[in-house]
Amino acid sequence: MSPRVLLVDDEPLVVRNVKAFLEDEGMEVDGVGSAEEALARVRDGAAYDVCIMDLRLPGMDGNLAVHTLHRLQPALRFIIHTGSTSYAIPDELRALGIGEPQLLRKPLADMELLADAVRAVARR
Amino acid sequence: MATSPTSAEPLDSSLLNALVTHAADGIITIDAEGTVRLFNPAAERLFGYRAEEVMGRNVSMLMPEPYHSEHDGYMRRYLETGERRIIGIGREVSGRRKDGAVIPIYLSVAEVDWGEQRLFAGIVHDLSERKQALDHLRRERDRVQRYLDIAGAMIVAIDADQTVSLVNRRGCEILGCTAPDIVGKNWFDHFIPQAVREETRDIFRHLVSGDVDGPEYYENSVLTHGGGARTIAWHNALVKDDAGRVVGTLSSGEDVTDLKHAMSEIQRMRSYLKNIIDSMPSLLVGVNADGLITEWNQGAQQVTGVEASDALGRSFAELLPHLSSQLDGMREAMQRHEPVRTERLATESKGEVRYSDVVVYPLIADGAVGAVIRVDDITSRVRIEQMMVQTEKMMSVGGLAAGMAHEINNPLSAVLQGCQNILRRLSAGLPANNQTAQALGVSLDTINAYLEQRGILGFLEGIREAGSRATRIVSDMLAFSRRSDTQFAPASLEEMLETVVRLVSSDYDLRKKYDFRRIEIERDYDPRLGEVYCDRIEIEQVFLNVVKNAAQAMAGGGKPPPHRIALRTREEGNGVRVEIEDNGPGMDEETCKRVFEPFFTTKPVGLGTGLGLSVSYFIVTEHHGGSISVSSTPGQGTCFTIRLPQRGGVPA
Repeated sequence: MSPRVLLVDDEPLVVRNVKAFLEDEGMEVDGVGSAEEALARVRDGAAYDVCIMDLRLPGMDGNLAVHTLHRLQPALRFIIHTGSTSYAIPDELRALGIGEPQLLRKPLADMELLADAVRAVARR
Repeated sequence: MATSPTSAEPLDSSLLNALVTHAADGIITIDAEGTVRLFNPAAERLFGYRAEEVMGRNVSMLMPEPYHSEHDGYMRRYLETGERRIIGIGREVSGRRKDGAVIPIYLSVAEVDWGEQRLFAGIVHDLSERKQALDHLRRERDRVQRYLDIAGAMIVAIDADQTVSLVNRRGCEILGCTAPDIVGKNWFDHFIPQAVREETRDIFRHLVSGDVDGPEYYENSVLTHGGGARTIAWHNALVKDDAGRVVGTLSSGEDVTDLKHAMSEIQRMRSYLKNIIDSMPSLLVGVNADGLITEWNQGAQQVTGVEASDALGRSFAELLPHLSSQLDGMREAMQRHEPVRTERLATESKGEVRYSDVVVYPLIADGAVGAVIRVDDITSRVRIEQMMVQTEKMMSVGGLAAGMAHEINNPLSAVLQGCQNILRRLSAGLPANNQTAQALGVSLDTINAYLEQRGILGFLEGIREAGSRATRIVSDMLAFSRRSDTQFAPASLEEMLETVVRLVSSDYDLRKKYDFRRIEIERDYDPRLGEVYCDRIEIEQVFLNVVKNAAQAMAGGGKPPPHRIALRTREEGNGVRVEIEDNGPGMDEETCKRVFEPFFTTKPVGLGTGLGLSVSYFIVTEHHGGSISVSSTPGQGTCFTIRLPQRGGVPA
């Protein structure tokens, strides 16, 4: 079964490219530009296996969004996709009990890595 | 003199009278009561009385007090007890002349039995002249002794038999004895330290032998009463008798112990100061008011190659032409009596700009005017400062890059990912691609052929490469930011270098142009070297940058093989030194100076970011507290030297 992916990134070009690549890989991808939109999707009843989360977002930031999404959908797994070089997975995120969140840094020249990561965390 | 009339051979009384009358000494005869019975002409001259004034009177009139009053007592006591004071003995006494003057006389008295009477005949010899001569001699002697005693020098007279015949007060002071302790003693046995005793005695023997002219002046030690030694500088004179024979020496000596001590102290101080002055890394030059050199230290010798002995007295402007601009400063300093400073004076030497700090101190000693010029070569400090400024700049770039990374990485992501999607959607690998093409009535092959022929795929590749390069630049710039996740741990330099060799061998970009396996790697690792506390990833990046540079330089340098890279590690103080040396084309001095500058690159456009070595510089100096330097000879090769503290490296 192909994973259902929720992609959160405030850069529309990144959303468009990643969505296209993962769809070419046969995944179902919903792309949104903010944490609020992502939460609205989930509250509206959409179900996902994996969420690719950018950290720096307008409005609610990525970290808080991860916590909120986890409360709403405890089975959801996360990939942090960030342009920040100093970011490290915080301990609270590890404490959620959803396995080690994957961390991928931008720019990701080869999206194959991202696809592999999605498949890897979706299996858990 | 009277004779007894009962003597066997009566003398002619007229002859006796004549003898008495003409005797040179006074003859006075008294009886037992002390009454004068005879008073000859010589006595008249002596005492100033005529005979008739004295005859019949008591002889005590001729005596001054206390003899005058006591004379009757003497007489009585002699007559009663036979105790003699003068009678039959003779001694020096005083007489009183008619005019009251007291005169020294030598009196000898004989007792004469003349019939029933006991008479006493005195012969009086006038001692006035002798007394005067003696007094004169005594005064003269005392005066000489006073002269000797107030003399600042010690004066010693030594007889030919080596005994001391005279020593003055200063001599006693120096020797710590009184004159009686010294005079009569063997000078050499008692007052010359054993170490030099015989030698000194020999000199003395030579002196008194008169054969040779001994030293008029010499220095030796004398032994003092306390067992100490004093150094005396002697002037000697020979003492001769009337016959011209040498009978001894007269020496005047000055205690130069303290002077000697002071002199050696001055000498010691002078050489101590000279050592200090010479050990200063600064160039120190003293000049007088005419600009002539009076002092020239080791630093000045090193800079100019001119020895101090050659430099002294020559002109400052001649020996240090590059500092001749300081002559005005010297004049100013001397006039105003204030130091004049010039900071960062740039001078050119052998085509290279060097920087110096110059201070001119005015010197006023004993009214003479001069100056001391101190020149410190601060070229390396200036270079380091320039590098620090550069580093500071890069750090602000790094900070900026960290802040901008997110913003830049998003568009870069879009560029790179867009390329990836385009190429993927042109490939036959995706079923959707074929389906869409068929629906539109074209084949993927045709589309690709078109894109190929029109060079579109090349443009796309260009976009991808440009994006990748921009990514590398951003990530290099980020290396200048103070990272919070540096990992310091002990690591083996040898292992890190080997990792780098493996990485370079498999570097795709490099392999395209040059096969790294054709480079001979020479390993010279110090086996005693322990592990170095460092951020392994960062230090590997430094080694990688340097090794890759070497490989690239040799690939493009047009220098024929064999190509060789030497990797050396050495323990050095409490740190380590790594040398990475190639035999590539090398660099000129100008390039060497700029290799660590950010965005300075000699590589073809697109091959380097221009940040590799400046990142390396930053990592080594800022993150690890080490240093990195380069030396190169064009046509010979280049050597990078990296020094790291063994256990330093403050995690930045």
